[in-house]
Amino acid sequence: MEAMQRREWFKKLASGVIGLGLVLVPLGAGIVFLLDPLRRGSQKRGFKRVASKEGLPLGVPRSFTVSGTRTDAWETAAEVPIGAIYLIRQPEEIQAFQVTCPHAGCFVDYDPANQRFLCPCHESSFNLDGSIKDPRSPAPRGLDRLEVKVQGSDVLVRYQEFRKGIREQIAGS
Amino acid sequence: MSRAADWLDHRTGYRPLLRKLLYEGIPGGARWRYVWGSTLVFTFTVQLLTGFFLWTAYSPSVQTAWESVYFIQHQMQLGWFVRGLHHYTSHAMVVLLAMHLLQVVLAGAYRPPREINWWLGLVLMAVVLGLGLTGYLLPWDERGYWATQVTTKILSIVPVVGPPLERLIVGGPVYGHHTLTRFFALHAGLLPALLVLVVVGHVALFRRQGVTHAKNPKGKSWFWPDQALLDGVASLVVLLVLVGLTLWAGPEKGFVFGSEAGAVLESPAEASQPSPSARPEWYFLSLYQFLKYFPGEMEIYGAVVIPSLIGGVFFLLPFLGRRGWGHAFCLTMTLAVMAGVMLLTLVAVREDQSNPLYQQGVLEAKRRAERVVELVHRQGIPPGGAVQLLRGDPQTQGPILFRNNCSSCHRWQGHDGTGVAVTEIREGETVLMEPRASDLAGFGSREWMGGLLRDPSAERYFGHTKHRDSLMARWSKTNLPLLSEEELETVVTFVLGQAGGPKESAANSERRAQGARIFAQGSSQGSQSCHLCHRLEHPDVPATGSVLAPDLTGYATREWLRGMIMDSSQPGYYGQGHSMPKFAERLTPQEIDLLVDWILGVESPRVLGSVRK
Repeated sequence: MEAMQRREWFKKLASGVIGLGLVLVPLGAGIVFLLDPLRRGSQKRGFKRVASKEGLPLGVPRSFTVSGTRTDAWETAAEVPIGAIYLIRQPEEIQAFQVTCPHAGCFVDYDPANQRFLCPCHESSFNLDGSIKDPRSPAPRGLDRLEVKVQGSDVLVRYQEFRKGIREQIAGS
Repeated sequence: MSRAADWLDHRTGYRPLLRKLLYEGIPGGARWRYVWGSTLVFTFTVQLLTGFFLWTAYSPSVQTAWESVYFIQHQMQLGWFVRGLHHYTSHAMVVLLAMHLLQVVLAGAYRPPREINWWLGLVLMAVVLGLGLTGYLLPWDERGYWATQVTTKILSIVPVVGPPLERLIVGGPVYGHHTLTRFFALHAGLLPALLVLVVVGHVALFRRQGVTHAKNPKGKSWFWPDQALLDGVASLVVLLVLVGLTLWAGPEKGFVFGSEAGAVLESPAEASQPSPSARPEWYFLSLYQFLKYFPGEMEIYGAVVIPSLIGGVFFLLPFLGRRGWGHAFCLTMTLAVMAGVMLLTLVAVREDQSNPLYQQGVLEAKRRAERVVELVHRQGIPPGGAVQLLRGDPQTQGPILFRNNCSSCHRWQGHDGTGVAVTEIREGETVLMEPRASDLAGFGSREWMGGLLRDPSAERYFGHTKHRDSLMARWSKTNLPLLSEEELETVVTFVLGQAGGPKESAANSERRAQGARIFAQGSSQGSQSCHLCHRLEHPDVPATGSVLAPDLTGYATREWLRGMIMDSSQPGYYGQGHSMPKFAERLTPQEIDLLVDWILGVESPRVLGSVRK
């Protein structure tokens, strides 16, 4: 009787283990497959001409489209819009800001009446130097500054995206 | 643990349900021959899982279907495995279905009171075949595209409803985006949902009626764990075979991990690209072969009528097998149909094996598939899709352009550029066509040009043209003895050195300067200089040149060859009256570039919007 029970128990165990193995092979492989995006880094970009220095009004931000090579899964597209930036010409320098809000990534508007940037999603507001204007803004940091180089009359910017929702400005998305 | 189970059971009553599911009595005991249904459920589960994962990466449109499948197969981690497993499991389902059907007929389990379950089984079989058919198109590669064309064309020959039905399935008058979205909706939506529903009904009815066993079975056992263990072991064997098939990359490579394993992905579909090796999946080969026996108007009998009649007989099996010799008839007929299917499949395979056109097509398709992957690795996939890479690839387009435009006069290693002899039919006989111009294989190489200088009248060069006895031929006859081999090679180095291309970049400048001297002044033994007839812009060559023969400035460079092809009678080439057509009038600039790059062996494929005008 005991031997029969042991046999029964063994059969159940074997069935269970086999059943688990049967599901694990397609499921496990599928999950590894699904995790593929985790091993892909974001694209590193160099400086790129965006505008002419002369075309920029003093102190007033203007948004520009940045184009470049976009690699999207299998597709490689040359010279397509990859994002936008604000450029502001100050007396001493030209500043560039990422247009997306560091809070949740919405496209920040320029509000000329109040000389500020205003996020249409959660009403974070920023000064023209990018710092937070209204301390009640949900944005954890000021607008993200991008590196700018001026060569002759050409304004070059190194376009980057940064992680949202944290205090530090860390490249990545 | 048990308290949590109690809590759950109290609220859901899962225990009696589970008991009912697991403790099914099996009169006569668990049997290996009862495993087929369970292995089918298992394989279908594998399909649902792998299918879902593939779904997360697949994009059904003409410009993205092949591309996303390429990405799955070659770039995503374990993509090749998930896709391979999905592919081979679909094959396994067809095999297991056949085994299951055979077992059911052998056991007489199609007879009353099991008619409805028999019919549900037939529905399941149709759905599984439908899944195979729709899935075959989704990668949008050559074989899927052409094989599926045949299927939908067959549909269109059905009287009255055929043409509109075909258009509804194809989603338009020709294959395109909506063909893919519709096939995908069927493949990943309607058909699997239908399959799940019918399987639930099928299994529920089976549980109600139980296994079909011998009249007075001895003993009894339970599904759990007796039959479950057998089912599990059988499914495990199936899985191991499938994993093996997925890892098997052919006899040369053996078992491999990586994108060379798994299911084949041919090159992206192109309506203008012949694909003589396109065949349906093996389990449709019998139907494909059957069609060959029905000429012309009779096609509908082979494609629709007879297969439908056989299906209809299977539908009526429960009534036919009820009494007397009925069961024997049903069994015989099932075995006969299966044997017929196997025989037709075998004949189809054998015919292909002995068909040189098919074999050539297989090699070509394989070459194109490898080529497109090579191009993608080199330059990425443009937004217009991978097919553009092949359209802009000299190695792919060059031979075809050469065959269609050049090969009635020129040859390429004696053939038409694509490896086929140039023939014509005269008085019913296929005869080799005489070339009327040079053989261009190797044009621009030292070997080719050296050969030209040594014997311009050879068949490979001007032998078939009016230049056969030209000044060049006479020059060669009288001057060759006055030139050392070394000097001749030096001139070749100098002339081809202008290209500065991959072929001549190594030649040193001293040698070229020497070559320029011989070109301009002749050899040390007093051979006539080339400069007497040919112009060539170079500091060491006098600017005043004769125009008796082609200007060799930039000879065998892309620019030179482009000019030659566009209009060989223009100044600097062969002059008025040259018999070669002006291809500037017949080919687009892009086509000429493709031809030039292929002839010169330049490895710089271009991406084009469209090659044709």
